[in-house]
Amino acid sequence: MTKVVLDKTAMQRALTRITYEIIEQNRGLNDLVIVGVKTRGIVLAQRIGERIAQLENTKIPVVALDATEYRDDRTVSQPTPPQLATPITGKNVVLVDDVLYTGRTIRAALNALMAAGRPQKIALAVLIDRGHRELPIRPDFVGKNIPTARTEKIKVQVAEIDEIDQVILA
Amino acid sequence: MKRFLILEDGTVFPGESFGASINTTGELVLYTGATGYQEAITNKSYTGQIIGFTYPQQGAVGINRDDYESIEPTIKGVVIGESYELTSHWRAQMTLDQFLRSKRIPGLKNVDTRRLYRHLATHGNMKASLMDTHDDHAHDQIKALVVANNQVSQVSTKQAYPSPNIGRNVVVLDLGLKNTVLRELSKRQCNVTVLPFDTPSETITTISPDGILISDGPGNPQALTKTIATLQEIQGHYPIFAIGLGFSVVALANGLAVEARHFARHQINLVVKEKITQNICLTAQNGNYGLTAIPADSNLLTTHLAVNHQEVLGFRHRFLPVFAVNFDPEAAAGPTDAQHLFDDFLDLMNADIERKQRVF
Amino acid sequence: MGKRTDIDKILVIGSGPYVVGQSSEFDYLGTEAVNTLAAAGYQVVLINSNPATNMTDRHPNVSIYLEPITEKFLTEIIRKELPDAILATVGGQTTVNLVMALRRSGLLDQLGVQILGTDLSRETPATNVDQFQQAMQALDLPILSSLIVTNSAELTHASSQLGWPIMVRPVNSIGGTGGGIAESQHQLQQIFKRAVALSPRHQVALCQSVVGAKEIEFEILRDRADQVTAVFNCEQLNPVGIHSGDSITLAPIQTLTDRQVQQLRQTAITIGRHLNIVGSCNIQFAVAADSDAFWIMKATPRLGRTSAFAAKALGYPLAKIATLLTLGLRLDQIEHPYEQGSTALVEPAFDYIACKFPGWPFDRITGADRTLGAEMKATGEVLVFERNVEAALLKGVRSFNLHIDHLWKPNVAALPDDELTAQLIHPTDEEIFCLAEALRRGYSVSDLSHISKVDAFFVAKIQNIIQLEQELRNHKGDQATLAKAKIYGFSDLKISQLWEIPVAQLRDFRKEAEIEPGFQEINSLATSPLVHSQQYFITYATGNEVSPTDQREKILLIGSGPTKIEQGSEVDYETVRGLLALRQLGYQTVLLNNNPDAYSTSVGVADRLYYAPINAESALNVATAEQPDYIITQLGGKSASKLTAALEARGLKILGADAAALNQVHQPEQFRELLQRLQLQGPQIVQLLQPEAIPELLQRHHLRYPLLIHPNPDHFFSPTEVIRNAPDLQRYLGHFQHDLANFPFTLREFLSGDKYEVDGIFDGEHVLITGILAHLEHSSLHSGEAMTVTPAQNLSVAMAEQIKNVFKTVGQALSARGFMNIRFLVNAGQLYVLAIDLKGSRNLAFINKTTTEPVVTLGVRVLLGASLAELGYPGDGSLKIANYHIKIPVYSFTKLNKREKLSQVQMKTTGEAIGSDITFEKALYKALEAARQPLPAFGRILFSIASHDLAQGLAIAQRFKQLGYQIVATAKTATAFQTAGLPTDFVHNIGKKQPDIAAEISGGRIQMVINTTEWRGPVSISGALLREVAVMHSVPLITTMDEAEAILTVLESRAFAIQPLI
Repeated sequence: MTKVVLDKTAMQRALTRITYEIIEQNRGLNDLVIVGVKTRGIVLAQRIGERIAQLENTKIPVVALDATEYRDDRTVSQPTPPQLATPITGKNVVLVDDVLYTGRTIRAALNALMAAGRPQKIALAVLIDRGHRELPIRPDFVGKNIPTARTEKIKVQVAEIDEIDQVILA
Repeated sequence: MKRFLILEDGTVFPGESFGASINTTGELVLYTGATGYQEAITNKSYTGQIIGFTYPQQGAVGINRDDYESIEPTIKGVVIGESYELTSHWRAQMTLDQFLRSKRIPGLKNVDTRRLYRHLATHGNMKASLMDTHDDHAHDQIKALVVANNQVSQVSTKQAYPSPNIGRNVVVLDLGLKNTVLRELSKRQCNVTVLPFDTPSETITTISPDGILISDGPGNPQALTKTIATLQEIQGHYPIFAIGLGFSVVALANGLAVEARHFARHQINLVVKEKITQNICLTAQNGNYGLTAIPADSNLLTTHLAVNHQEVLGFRHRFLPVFAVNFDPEAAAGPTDAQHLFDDFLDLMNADIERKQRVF
Repeated sequence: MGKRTDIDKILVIGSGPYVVGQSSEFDYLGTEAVNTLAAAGYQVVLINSNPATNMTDRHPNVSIYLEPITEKFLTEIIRKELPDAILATVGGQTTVNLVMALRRSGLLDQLGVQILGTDLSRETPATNVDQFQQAMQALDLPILSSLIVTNSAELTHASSQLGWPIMVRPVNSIGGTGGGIAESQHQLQQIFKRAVALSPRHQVALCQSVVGAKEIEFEILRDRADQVTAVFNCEQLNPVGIHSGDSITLAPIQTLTDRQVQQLRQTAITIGRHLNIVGSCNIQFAVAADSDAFWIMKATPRLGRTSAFAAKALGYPLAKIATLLTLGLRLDQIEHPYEQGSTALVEPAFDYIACKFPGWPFDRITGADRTLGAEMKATGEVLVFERNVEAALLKGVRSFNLHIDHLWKPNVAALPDDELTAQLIHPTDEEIFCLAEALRRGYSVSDLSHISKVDAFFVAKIQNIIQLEQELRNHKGDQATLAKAKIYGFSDLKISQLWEIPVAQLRDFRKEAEIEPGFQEINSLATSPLVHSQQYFITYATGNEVSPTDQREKILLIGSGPTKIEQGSEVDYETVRGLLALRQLGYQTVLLNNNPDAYSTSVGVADRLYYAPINAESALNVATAEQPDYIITQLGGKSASKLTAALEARGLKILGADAAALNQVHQPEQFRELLQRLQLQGPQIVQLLQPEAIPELLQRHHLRYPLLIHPNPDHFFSPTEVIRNAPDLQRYLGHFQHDLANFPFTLREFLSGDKYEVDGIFDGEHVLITGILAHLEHSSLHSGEAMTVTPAQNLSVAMAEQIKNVFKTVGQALSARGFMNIRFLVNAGQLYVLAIDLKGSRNLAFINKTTTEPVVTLGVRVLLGASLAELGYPGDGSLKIANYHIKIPVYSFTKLNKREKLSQVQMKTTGEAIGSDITFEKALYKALEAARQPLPAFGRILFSIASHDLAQGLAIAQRFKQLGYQIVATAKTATAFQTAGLPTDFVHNIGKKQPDIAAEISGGRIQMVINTTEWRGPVSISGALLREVAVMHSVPLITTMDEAEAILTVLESRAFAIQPLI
C-alpha cells in the first residue's frame, strides 16, 4: 500500500518554511551557498534558491553535488574532489537533500564538500527526516519528520523529474 | 419613516428607517461584498462604525445562528439600498430588520448607495450620523463628533478565558477577535487562551505558550501603545502570527509607520500574492490602515503584496519567528483561499519546539 | 512566463452554423479569440462555415477557410497549413468532438500539432463524463451519481439503484436534446427510447434527480502558473430541471449565505485545478434549498454560453483573457480592461444585478410545445442591468419588443385557475407571467414557491411588483409612489394605464417631478467606482454618471438587440463593421444594445456602450445624455430601423432614409402607391381592416389564390402564411381574428418565378450594386429560409440593368441614402418588385464574404456624405464576385419539437452556412456538408412525400436510381412508386411494425431522407420524429423538391456513366 504523506501543497509549504528559516538563521545572505545532493536534493536546492530570489531579489548560488565516490560502500580508493560551480571556502553552506535516513549519504556529501573547499559553516536541510540514524548527524532544517519502520520506503517525487510533487510512503 | 444619513461634509442622503429607530454617529465605512452582511455586522473590526453596503440588496438570507462573528455586535449603524424582509433561506432565524431591532442598532434603507460609494471614493472616509432630521443642529453634532480612539478597549475581552483543546498552546491577544479565528484554531486542535489586548508580557510568560496570535480589530493601531510594548518584549521568545490590526501593531513595534487610507474599501475580493511561492489568494480586508512599502534596512521582510495597486500585505521578521498579514485569512465573510496561513502558524510553532528541543 | 514563442501558426475552429444550444454566443467568443491571437502576433488559420459571424471577417494575419467543419475538411486544411497548435475552446461541443476525432485518427501526433490550453483532444476527466465522476469521487467532492445505459433492459435495475425521479441525458448531444425527467418506469422507457436514438454515441446517462434544487454556476479562469480567479457566479431563477439556457439567470448569486458561496467557489477552483484547466471553465452546481447539501452537476472546460454572459455582465473581455492564458500568459501579466495599475487577476464586487433573460421563438412557431425542461429551446437572450431584481425582471420582459410591457399577458390572465396551477407545475416560457398572475389572484408566496419550486426570494420579488401595482392604483398622481415605481422598473406606459391617464401626460408629470433616469457605469471589477469602463446601464435607482467626452463628432448607433429567429448575429455583423468603420474615420461611437452574445457589446468595439431595451424610450434617454451629432438606424436590423420615426420626431439627426421614406416602403398601401407612381410592377396588396366578407374584397381587388397573409406587423403574434383556397382562409381567420390587435391583416398576391435579393448603396445619384442573391427554390419562402446563390446565373444583363434602374428610381423618389435592399421576382421576362428596404440587409455579412470590397464601410461613408465616385466607384456599378457562393439555412428543429420545418411562411432557421467553390456544384456540395447534411456517395434514399409532390418525386427518384442509389419509401409513396414501375423497398412509420424508419436510420441503413409535407394538414408527429431522428444521426434531410433537384445536379455532375451493355 502506498500512501501520500505530503501532497503538492504541503510540500510547497514545507519548502517555504525551510527557506524562511534559512534566512532567519543566516542573518544575511551574503555568504550563503546552497548545495543540493543529487538528484532530488538538487531540485529542492534550486527551489529554495528561487524562493530566496523571489523574496530578496538576490540570486544565491545553487550548486549540485555528486558525492557517489565518497560513499562508504564504494571502493574508490582515491575519490576525485568535486568541481563546484561556486567556490565554497569561507561560505555559509546549506546542504540540501530530500530524505535523511541513516546519515551515510550526508556523511559522504560532507566529505566531498570538505574536499572541494573549506566552508565557514555547513548546515543541513532535508525535506523528510525518517529517523533510523546510524551516524551522529542532525538536520538544522526539517520539512517534516515522518517516523517510519525500517522496512518502509519513503519516496520524494518532484515535478521536474517525476512529473508530480508529492512524498509517498510504501 | 423618513431618516437621513448626514456626512461630516454636509452631504445628506435620505432614506427610510429600519432596525432600531435611534439616532447615531460614527465613522462611515463601505463594505463591497455582495454576501456576508451578517458576518460584517457582527465583526468587531467595525466597532463604532456605520457600515454602508454597496451591493444594492441586503437581507436575502436573513440572520442565522451559525454565521455570527461575535455575540454582541458593536457597530453603530447600517446603511443599505434595499432591505429584504422575507427569510427564504432554510437557515434563517430572523430577518435583518428583526436582528437590528433586537440589538438596538439603527439602520437606514432605500439609500442610493451607488451615489454614496462614489461620494466616499471621491472625498475619502468620513464621520456620519443617522438622524431623524437634517437641520443645522444635526450638522453641528456630526462636526463636533470626535471619533474615539479606544475601540479596542471597548471590545477586547476584559478577562482571560480558555478555549480548551488537546493540541498546541496558543495565546490569542484579543484586539477584537472574530469567532472564525477561534474556529480555525480549534480545527487545528489548538488549546487557546484568549487574553485582553493590554495583557503585560509577564502574564504571557507565565502561560508559556507555544505561539501567539494577535487578532484583527477596530480603530487606530497607533493608540495601542500597551500592546505594542508587550509585543516588543515577547517577540523572539514565541512564534507570533498577527492579522489585520495585529499586522499594524507588529509593524509599529518594529519601527515602521502605518498610514491611514484615504478611502477604505472594505472588501472580500482582495488579491494577494505570496512572494516566495508566487501563489495568489483572494481574501477579505476591513482595515483603514495600510503599509505601502518596507524600507530595505528594516528587520521586516515583505512576504505578501497586493496584485493590483502596490501595497504590502504581509511581512515576516527577518530573524525572529514572527509573521503578519494585513487581511483576514480566516475569511467569514470572503474567500477561504488564505486559511493555510493557520497551518503555517502551526508549522512555525512545531518547528520552534523542535529547534528548542535540539541539543548541539 | 510570457506568451509562448515555440508556436507561430494557430488553427482556430469555429462553431459552424448556429443551432439552438450552440448559438451566437460563439460569435462573440470566437471573434474575440481570433482578434486576440492575431493581435498577439500569431498567424491564425480559421475554419468556420458560418458567414453570419464577425469571426469570419477579413483581418490581417488571419487566413479564413469558409469550409465545412467536418473531420475531412479539417484534415485537409491541417495538412495544407501545418499549424503548430489548435485553439479548440471557442467552437462549442462540436469542436471538442472534432479534435478528439483528430487525435484518434493519429493526425495530431503525426504532424505534432498541439492543443492550446486545456487538452480537449484526449479522454480525461475534463472531457469524459465517467472519468469526471470518478475523479470527483476520489476528491471526495459531492457529485450526482449517474449510470450510463445503452440498452432498455438495464432500465429497471438502474431505476432501483437511483430512485425516482430520474434525470435522463443522451451522452454528447448539444443543448440537452432528447433529455428529460422520468417519474415512472413507463416514462423512463419512453424518454430513454428517444434519448438513445438521439445520442451520437447511443449512450444515455441516468442520474439521480435533484429537480427543484437551486442551480448555481461559476466561471473560473486559470493560468499556467496555477493562479485561479472565480471571476463570475450566477444563480438561476428557475430550479434544476429546466435547462440553464432556458432559465432567467441573475448575477451575482442571490439566495445563498456567504459561507455557501465560498464553499462552492472553493470547490469550483479545486475542480479547475484538478482538470488542469488553462483558460476558462464553467462549473454547474445544484444546491439544496433546505440543507447544506450541494452537488456538482457538470464542468465545461471551454468557453460557452455563460462565458459570454459573464464577459458582458462584468465588462470583462473573458474570451480574450482566456485565449491569452492558453498562450502561456499569467493572469497578473495581463492588463486590466480599463483600470490603470491593475491586472486581469480580479474578482468582482457587484453593486448591481445583471440578469440574462432568455427569449423563445414560440411567437414565430405555432403548435410548438412550450413546456420547458431538460432540452434547451431559447434562441436568444438579452442582458439587463439593474439595482434590484424587480426592475431587472420587468426590464427583461420588455426587452424582446414583443409588445409586452409588464409582467402581464392577456392569454395568461385569461387562464382558469386549474390551468394556471398546471402551468406552474409544468412550467412553460410563460412561467414568470403565471407566477405574477397567481399572485394577483391571491396565492401566497410560500404556496407558489412550493408549487413552482422557484425560490420564495424570487416569488416575493414578483409579489413586490404586484403590490406596487396596487399602490399605484391607490395613489394616483402621487410623486413618491411614481418615483418608487420607476426605481422598481415600471414602464411609463404601465403606470399610465394604472393611473388611467394618457402616457404622454404621465411622462410630462414625471419630468415635472424631475424623476429622470440615471446611468450607472458598469465597473464591478475596478477598485473604485470612479474608474471608467465606458459601459453604462439605465436605471432610475441612482443618479447620472455619464461624464462629458471629447470634442470629436459623435455618432450613436442603434444595435439589433436579442438574437431572434429572423435577426441573428448577421445583423450584429453590420453593427460591428459600422462601428469599426466610424472609429477609423475618427468619429466617437456610442452604441445602444442589450445582447450579451453579440460581438458589438464586446469591450472596445464601441467607444461607449449603453445596455438598455432597444426602444424609443431608451434611445431618447441615451441621446439626451450623449448629445450625438448623428444617429444611425440602418445597421441594427428591423428593431433599430423602427426607431427612426421616434428619434426624428425629437429633432435628432438620422443618417439615411427618413421616417416618411420608411413608411412608404413598409406600409402596404403606401408601398402599392409608390410602385404605381414609379411605374414599377409589384404584387397586388390589400389590407383587411376589420372582419368582412373576404370573397367580395378579393374580387374587388382582382386577387386570386394562393395568397400571402400576415397580421398587423406590430402585433406580437404575427405569422405569415400561404393561403391556398377559401376554406384555408376561413380556418386562418378563425384562428386569429378573435384578437382585434391582429388587424389590419395584409393580403398579398402570391407570385412565383425566379427570386432575387439585391443589396446596393445609393449616394443620391448613383447606385453600387453590392450583391445579387438568387433563390434556388421556387416555393413561397421567406427570404431567410431559402437557399441562395451568388452570382445569379440566370439573370440576363438587361435584367441586371433594369434592377439598377429600380434602385435609382426608388432611391431618388424617396431621397434615400446609404444602404438599400430590394427583393425582385422575374416571371416571363417581367421584373416585379416584391419588397423594398432602406437599411443594411441581413445578407451583408454573407455578401462581404463574396467580395474583397469593404461593403459596410462603403455604405457608412456614403451615409456620412461621400459620393460613390469619391470612393472610387464612378457611375452605376456592381461589385465583382469571384467563384460561386451558396448560402444555406440551418434549422434547429430537433428541440422545438412538434413543429414542422416548412408548414408556414415564417423563418425558423437558427443559423446559416456558406459553401464557396469554383463551380456551382462544388459550392452546393460544400454548403450541404457545412449545414451538416453531407451527400451520400451511395446507399438507400428514403422518400416520404406529400401527394402533390408525387409526380416530381417519382422523376427525382428515378434519377437517383439511375445514379445507383436504392429507393426506400413509406406506405403511400411506396405504392405510387411501385405502381410506376420503380423498384422500391417498403418501411413502416416509426413505432409501427419493424422495420420502422427509426430502426433503419439509426442502424445506418438510410443515407438520405426526402420528406415533404401536405400543404396544410395537421402536424404529423411521425413526420416530426422522422426528421428529428434523421438530423440527430447526421442523415441529410431534404424537405423540398427544388432542393432535391439541386442535389441531383451535384450528384450527377460527379457521377460516371455506369451502365451495363444492353
